Amino acid sequence: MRRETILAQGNTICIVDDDDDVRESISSFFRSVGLQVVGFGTAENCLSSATIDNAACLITDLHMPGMNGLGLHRELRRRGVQVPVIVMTAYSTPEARAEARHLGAAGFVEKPVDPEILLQNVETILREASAHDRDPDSRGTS
Amino acid sequence: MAFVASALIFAADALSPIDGAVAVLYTGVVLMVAPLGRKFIVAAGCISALLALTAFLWGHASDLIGGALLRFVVSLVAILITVLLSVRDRSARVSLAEQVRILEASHDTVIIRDSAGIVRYWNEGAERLHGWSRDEALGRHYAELFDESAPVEEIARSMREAGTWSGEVVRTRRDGARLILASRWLQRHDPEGNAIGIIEASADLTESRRAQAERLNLERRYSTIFNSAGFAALECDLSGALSLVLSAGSGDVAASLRADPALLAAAVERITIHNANPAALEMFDAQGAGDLIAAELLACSIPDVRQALETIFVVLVTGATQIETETRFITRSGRSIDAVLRLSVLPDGTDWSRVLLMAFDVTERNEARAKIERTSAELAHAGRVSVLGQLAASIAHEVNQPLAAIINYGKSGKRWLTRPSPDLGEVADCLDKIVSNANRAAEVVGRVRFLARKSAPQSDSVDLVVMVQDAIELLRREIHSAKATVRVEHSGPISMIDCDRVQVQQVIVNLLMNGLQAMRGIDGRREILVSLEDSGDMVAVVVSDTGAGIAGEPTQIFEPFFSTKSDGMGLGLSICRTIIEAQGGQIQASNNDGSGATVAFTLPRSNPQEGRHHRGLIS
Repeated sequence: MRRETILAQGNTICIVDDDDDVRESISSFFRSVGLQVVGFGTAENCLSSATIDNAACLITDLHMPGMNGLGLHRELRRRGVQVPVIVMTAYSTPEARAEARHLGAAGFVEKPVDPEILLQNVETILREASAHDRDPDSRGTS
Repeated sequence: MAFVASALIFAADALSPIDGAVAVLYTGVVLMVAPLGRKFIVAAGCISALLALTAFLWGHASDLIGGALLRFVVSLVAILITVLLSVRDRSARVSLAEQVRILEASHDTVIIRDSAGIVRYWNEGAERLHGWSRDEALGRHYAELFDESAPVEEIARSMREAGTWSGEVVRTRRDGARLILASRWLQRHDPEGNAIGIIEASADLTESRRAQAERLNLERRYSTIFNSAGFAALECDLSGALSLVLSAGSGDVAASLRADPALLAAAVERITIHNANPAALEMFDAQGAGDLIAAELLACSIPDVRQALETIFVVLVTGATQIETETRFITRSGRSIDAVLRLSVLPDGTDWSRVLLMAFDVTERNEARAKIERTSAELAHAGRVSVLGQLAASIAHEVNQPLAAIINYGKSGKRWLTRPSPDLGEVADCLDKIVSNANRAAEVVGRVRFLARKSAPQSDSVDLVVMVQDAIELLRREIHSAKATVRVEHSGPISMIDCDRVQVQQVIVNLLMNGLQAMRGIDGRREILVSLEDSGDMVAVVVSDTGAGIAGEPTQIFEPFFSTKSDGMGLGLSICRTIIEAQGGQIQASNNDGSGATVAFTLPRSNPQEGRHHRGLIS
């Protein structure tokens, strides 16, 4: 499937970062390629929003006031929300990386992150998701 | 009886016509009373003489013819001789009886045996010591009464040649106990000079020997302990030193020693060391006790030594027998040793002539302690360096965030432009954001530059409220990761003050960092309250945290702890004080009533002495 097709499907991406400028700039970049983006300043705000249940991907900062990125990931898993999660951090530690892997994070990127690379990660996730969505249908019809 | 005899003799003498020396018979009367004692003998003699005189006068008064008178005189002479002999015999008997009593009463044993070895005399001392009563012993051969171990040949030779022998014999008592006797033997002779046996007098040495042996054991035990002790032990004579110190005048030894600095050295010269154990020799690098000279070991020029010696002298004079103090020795090879000294005045000496000095080498302990102190200072320094590292990382992050946003907006703007239908509104928005984020980064860099720059003090007109908020903004990341909140409070407007902006900001950042560190690991509320007060002439900045508080005296946190060197941005509290005081203010620290500590500084509204001058130079 071509990129435009995936991006044009109107997938919603959630971005959680306490730094407004960082969050808004990533958001602007993703919107420029046709994705729908919803940003949250805290993990708590994200959890209380209905958007997350239908999001195609979640990009979250690791260090935030209140609940941090890993806490958010854990809470989503606890609730059974299987959205792919990409964790960003300026302070990468082996422990945090191991925990993210353990929770099944789709990506672990270090800040400052090139938005092009972030976009590639998101595209990969969306492509896999659409393939996954198709396969059960094909099995069901055969 | 004597009276009857006297009367009969008198009657015969006076009344009978017997022409003979009847009065001689009075001698019998004298002998009869002789056992009664000397006074009776003399009295009987006198009475007999009077009676004889009476009878003579009665019978022969008319004719004092020669024959009767001669008989009378012979009788008187006979009576006199009898009296004298009786008196002498009496005193000889008395002294003999006394000698026998002495023999009996003696603690020593006195045994007399004949030439066949049969016991002929056995005193009470012999009864007590050997366990045989006199009745049992008399008439038996002495070898039946005890086993004896004695130098037989030596005794025989000595008795043969000199007639006496003295020495030690070991015997077994009747009950089997062993006796050591100091014995003196004397040959008995009959009037013809033939040996007829032996007199022996012996004293029991068993108890004194046992005591002696015990004393010897005690001495050996003491010397074993002394010599094998793992710590240095010396026997010293301090009597000369102390008599010198005491003779220096007033009863106040401490005052004497202070008054004459040479006195102490002179006193130490008089300390003699008798004995030193191997540990002491090793400690002082000496070959023998003779090498140890108190004046060399205790160099009065060293203040520590001087103080210890003064303490020792002063306390000894009060009558103390145990003293413990710490001092420093100089060994013979010139090493310096820290030692804990324990002095014990031994009871067998007089006037401190025997003092046991024990020394425990604590040099290593003291070095270890010093090392620990150094290490903890280094640790504190390392901690400070790591705070610096954290601050640097925090600042780097503060710069990176807007830079990342700029990149994102830049790439995003390009995308918006290159879309099939470019969205110029979004592009404009991206460009605006690029500018604002660049400004944000520039601000951070500006703040860092203020902190990092080591410029000469300069005076600006500063709004402390803004400065505090800037500092909080700078530490935003730190505050956040410490899970703390910082509140700023001020009632009413705060005047602008004249101060060195950079330096005062360094102080504020430092106080906030300290507060954050103090709250690390605190379970409860973590809040820093910065309150500002304007009292007209002065503005006070009070930084109060809810942390662990200050251990010990709060004011000492301003003492230079490791070094006064500032490592770029980091500043110790001692430098904070220097900065504040240089600008005419004051800084104080105290623990809060509840939790945490408060550090407050004041700055004058105007600082004319320096500020204007610097401003003039720079502008």
